[in-house]
Amino acid sequence: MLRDDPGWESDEVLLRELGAALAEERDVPEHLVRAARAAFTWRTVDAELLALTSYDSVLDEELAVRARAAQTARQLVFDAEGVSVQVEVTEAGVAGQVLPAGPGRVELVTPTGPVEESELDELGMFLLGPPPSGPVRFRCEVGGTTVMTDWVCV
Amino acid sequence: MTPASPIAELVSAAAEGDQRAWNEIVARFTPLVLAVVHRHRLRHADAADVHQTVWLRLVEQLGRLREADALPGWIATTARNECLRMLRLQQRTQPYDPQSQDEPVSPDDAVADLDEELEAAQRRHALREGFRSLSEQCRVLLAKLMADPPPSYAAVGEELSIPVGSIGPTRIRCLEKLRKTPAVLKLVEPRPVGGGGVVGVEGRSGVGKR
Repeated sequence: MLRDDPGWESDEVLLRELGAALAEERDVPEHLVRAARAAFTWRTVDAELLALTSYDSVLDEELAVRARAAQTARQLVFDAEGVSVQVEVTEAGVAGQVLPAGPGRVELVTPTGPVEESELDELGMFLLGPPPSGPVRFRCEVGGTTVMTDWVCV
Repeated sequence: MTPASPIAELVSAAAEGDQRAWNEIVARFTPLVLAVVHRHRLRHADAADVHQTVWLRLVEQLGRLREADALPGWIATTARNECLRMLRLQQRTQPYDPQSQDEPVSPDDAVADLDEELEAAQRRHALREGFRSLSEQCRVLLAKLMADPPPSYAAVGEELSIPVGSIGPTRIRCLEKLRKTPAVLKLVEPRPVGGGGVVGVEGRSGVGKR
């Protein structure tokens, strides 16, 4: 017996579902395949640390209830061992802070490469312009360490 | 030790830097990503962004994948989480537009029946994998038979130059082989949809649950 019994004991049902499965494969747009193949260029990343998303305001249920209609900024926190990258995204651009604070630089990176960079001030703060649509990530150099965040669509 | 499944071989080759292995993974799993993405009825551009994000995330997980067999679960869950994120982002930044032709569904609606749909998408993925491993004879015959409307056995026999009387028994035999392929057999053993423990990073695929 198969899980959730899809009815595959029946030849008719199995053949029909196989047809649907193969149709899904035929319907894949070529430009999406190209984008997925190109993602492979990110296999090796020149960063020592990968900072994972530990907070995302769009996934914050309490915030969603409190600020239902308000145009609040998107807030994201990425954490790696010993380093935290906090960013706030509005239509005006990206404001962020890298902790622990210290001089350094940050780059806004798209799947085709870096598009903008900024210095970190003595508090680790930085400002960048509005990010492009699609997945982006931040690459930070601070205290002799290079940190790369997760990819996020902002 | 069980022999490495073809997917496991592709994953380890890709982790070593083999672009062709990666392309093969993309070819085999993109329909699964898109099946999940389409279920959320995102705008085209957003669907493309989610799709790309899933692949960008996977490329970083290649070296961390402990069990390639759980890849379908990881991919389906990651795609779902990114879709939920995108839906909420849309809802927040783009107020309801009555003129819009492709107004997105609310996240709550999107979540309904989602687990079921995730499983169905993974089942169809398993069928594609199983079908891929069948003999060419079986693949050709089954492909002909699943045409809509179904062709007559006489037409199929003539087209494939095989006796009409052998089509029925071959169809039964090929479908039985499909049921016995490793990809399809794996569904017999229940596995959590979340693909827990697939990757070596805690909470990596848990963004939708917070």
